[in-house]
Amino acid sequence: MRKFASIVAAGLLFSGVAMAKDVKIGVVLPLTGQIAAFGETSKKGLEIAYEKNHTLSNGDNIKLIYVDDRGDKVEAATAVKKLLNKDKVAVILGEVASSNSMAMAPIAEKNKTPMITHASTNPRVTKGKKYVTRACFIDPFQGAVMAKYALDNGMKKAVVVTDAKQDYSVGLSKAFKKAYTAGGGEIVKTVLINSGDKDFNAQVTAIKQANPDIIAFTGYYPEAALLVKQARDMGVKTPFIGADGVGFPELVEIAGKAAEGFMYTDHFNEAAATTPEAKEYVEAYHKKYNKAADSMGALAADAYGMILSAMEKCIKEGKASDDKECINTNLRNTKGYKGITGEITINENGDAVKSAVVNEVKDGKFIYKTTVNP
Amino acid sequence: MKKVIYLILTLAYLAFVYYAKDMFDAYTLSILSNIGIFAILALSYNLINGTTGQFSLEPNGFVAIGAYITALLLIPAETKLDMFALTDPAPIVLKMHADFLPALLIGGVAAAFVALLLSFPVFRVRGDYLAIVTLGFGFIIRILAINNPEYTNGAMGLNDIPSYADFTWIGTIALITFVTMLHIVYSKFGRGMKAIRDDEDAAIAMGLNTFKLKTFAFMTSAFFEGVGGGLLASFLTTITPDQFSFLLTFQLLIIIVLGGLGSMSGTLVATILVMGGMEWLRFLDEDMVIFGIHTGAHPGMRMVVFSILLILMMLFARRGLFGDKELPEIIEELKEKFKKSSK
Amino acid sequence: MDMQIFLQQLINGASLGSMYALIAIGYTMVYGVLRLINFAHGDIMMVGAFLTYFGMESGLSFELAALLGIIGAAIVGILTDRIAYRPLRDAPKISLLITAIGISFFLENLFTVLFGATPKAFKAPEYITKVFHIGEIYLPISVIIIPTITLIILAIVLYILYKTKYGMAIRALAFDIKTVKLMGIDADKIIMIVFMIGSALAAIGGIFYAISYPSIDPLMGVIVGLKAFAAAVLGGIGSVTGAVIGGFILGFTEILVVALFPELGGYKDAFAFFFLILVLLFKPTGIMGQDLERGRF
Repeated sequence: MRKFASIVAAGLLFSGVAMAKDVKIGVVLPLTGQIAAFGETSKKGLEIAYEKNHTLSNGDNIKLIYVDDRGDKVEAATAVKKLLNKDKVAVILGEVASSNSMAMAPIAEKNKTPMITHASTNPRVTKGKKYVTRACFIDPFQGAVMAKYALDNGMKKAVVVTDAKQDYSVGLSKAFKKAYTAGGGEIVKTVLINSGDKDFNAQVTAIKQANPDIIAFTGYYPEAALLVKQARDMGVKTPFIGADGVGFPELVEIAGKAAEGFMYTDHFNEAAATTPEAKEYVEAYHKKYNKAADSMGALAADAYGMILSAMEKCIKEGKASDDKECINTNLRNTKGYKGITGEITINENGDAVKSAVVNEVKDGKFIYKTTVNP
Repeated sequence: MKKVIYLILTLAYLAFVYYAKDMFDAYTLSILSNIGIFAILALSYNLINGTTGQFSLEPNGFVAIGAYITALLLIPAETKLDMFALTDPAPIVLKMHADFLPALLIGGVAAAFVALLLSFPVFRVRGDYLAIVTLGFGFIIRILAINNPEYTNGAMGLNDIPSYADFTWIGTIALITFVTMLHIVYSKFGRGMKAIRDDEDAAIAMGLNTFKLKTFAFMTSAFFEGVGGGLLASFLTTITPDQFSFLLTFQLLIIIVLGGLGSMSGTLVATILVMGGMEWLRFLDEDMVIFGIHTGAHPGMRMVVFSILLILMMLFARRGLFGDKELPEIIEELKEKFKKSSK
Repeated sequence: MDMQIFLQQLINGASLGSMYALIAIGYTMVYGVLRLINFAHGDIMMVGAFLTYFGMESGLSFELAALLGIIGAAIVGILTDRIAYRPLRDAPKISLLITAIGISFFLENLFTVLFGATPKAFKAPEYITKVFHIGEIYLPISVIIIPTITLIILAIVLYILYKTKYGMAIRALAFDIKTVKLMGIDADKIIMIVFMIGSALAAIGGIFYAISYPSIDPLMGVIVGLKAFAAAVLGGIGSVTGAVIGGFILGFTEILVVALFPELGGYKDAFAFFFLILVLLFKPTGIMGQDLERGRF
């Protein structure tokens, strides 16, 4: 039915009967550079969502304008300025890395343009901002889930591996430590890495000497894969637990057998996709890319869906679909949005309140373990 | 007559810089500001590399020093406490505070001081070794910034830097840099520097204290790079150690070589070409429609085209756009040529 | 630290050092004949690893794919010389340096556009990556194979340089390019051979690197290349033996210092340059180097 409606709408558009216009959404992603992998998978999900629906009920056509920021804060800030001043976008979607989103947020705020980040989980991204919203949960929640899961499984001594280059990882480590010690666990050591490192000999040696029950890894998958491989190669058998930054197929591809048993919290797991929205998305994703759907793409698709739903509400209120104030108000008031990654409600800070899943690598696949509600 | 022209040009430029913020949108202004900052950096880099002929690769280090010091002087103490995530900030970091202009100057002086210390070891070596040692210096500064989080907040860098540096500030300081550099180039010191570039042994034989001259050029260059770094920090409001990787140095090197080593006006033109060009080429990354066919978005295409253009320019304009001459000299030459051909 | 861990780290160091050494040889040979810091060399290493990866993806065995990678990288090396360096033989040296940077940017971004920036999993065959252990010492077989092959390759390169007619021409060229040309030797052909050898070795280094750290991306050559370059200068640029010594010194230091003082781990990437500056201050021509021409460039 929806398809039919959109065909009709498209027909009207071409016949020139309706006064439909283009509504632009600016998308800032790291499509090249060191964290390009996240940008690429986000874009894949976004494309699925876009193909499914890019026409509003009043016939307006959504246009996505992608800008690559090379994973760089400065470029991210310039990208936002370009989108606002040159392309005149109504909404900004992005970025992945919290550090880059933090460079973008003040500009969106100053220009009173709604910005939604699909995957930046550091609390400071939305802190004190009226126009910045996110489609994901924040690190204190995720860190608590990690800590609870480890403690529930009887792991009382942890080494925390922090990626000192990422706001995301530093924030998450703090959250984990707080929840873990509050729950009776002991942090025996904190080990630092930097994204882009490939040799973790020093860290593995340090971990080996500390001899923990669990290794809490708060960084991203390229480092996770190499670290777990090198740890296993050097005879370290301690289990790992990570967060949403590690849940990528490349973790298994790069680390191979060493990734077995790696646990992590995430926004989404294909296997836990029970709602019709999620099922439809997963199916479309498989068809288009012949790959398992990851959480970055699903989150980006949800962020896009939330924007569209906010725009629809504006149309219902009799306002223009690109009315920034209206879109922002509706985005910030999102309640029970049925997304691919679950039900999303935005709280007063602009953060999404939603459930997390815990997954584990088994036989090279991400096996769904449990869902943790906020 | 010439003086009047220069005065009018300067006033017109200052008026432009002052009124630009009412004439352009934020995106255009940010490109202009970017060009202004890179002009400051490239001009000062050209003094040591072009005019003095000491092939060095360290500006990223000096820019980083200026940027960090200025940023730390500008950020209020409460924000620092909130921002430093890896460890608590060192007491001195909390205490340091200054207004914008003093902060910029302190950043510049600090960079110049480091340059002074550095000149003792680096000017022991010449030629390619100088390049390598200075490359190493820039690299080490970045690693130090990453590994001393109590001063720099580590690899995450500093956020929420008060944004004083608008195009008026940047444009004015760029002009000051340009005029200062020209003054130096045409002074007694400048002639000494050129003598070193052309033949250092001959310069020594003529009784020039080449070490002093080189150090002077190095420190001046570092001072302006430090100030430029401070402007960059306040303009971007956020800095990380990775911004000051050798890619920054390469970018500056490309600019000064393209403009013509030793030519200050060439550097200015090249800054506009390179910085503007990189921004303009952005359309290459986007989805294009050629004869009704979508090419699809190809992130990275911009840099591919940029590098091809760079190679082509070097193949066909080996001495850069202006060689080592300044714009008025080029105009004179063109006039001569024109006269000859019209006869 | 106990003896066993120390021994394990020593072997790891030799393995890492081998990779630096292989890449450093290319830097040093090109510098020797052209006086050019070939900034694109690290990216040639990336090309070698990527071509090998694609060879395996398209169904070739690891050995054949590696051969493809090595030959492919050698061809890319020769092409860069042909397109970007040869036309500038008599230009100021800094122009050459800029084209080298241009080639480096070009390769990195071309591979990003073509294949994406997502790190790709490099799947080396089981017989190289299998881990065995003697007591508490855990070792993948690769850490034994890599230094062994490196030493064999070094012997071959030295043989070519000192026992063949081409080797003699290369050394003569490094000594005095003008005179050699006057003597009727085709300098361009010799330089082509230098690029071929250097690039092939870089590709081997790249493949070893991909075996040891099995995630490859278009920017993998940047830092490794810079460090290998530092190693080449450390050993005395222009000297092949020096490059190998420099590479091994760097490999051992990076691994051992970090294992002994884990808190210095963050400074690992700077060791190469700390060292370099120290050595250059006391012996401005590197460990094995000879005096280079003085003056500018």
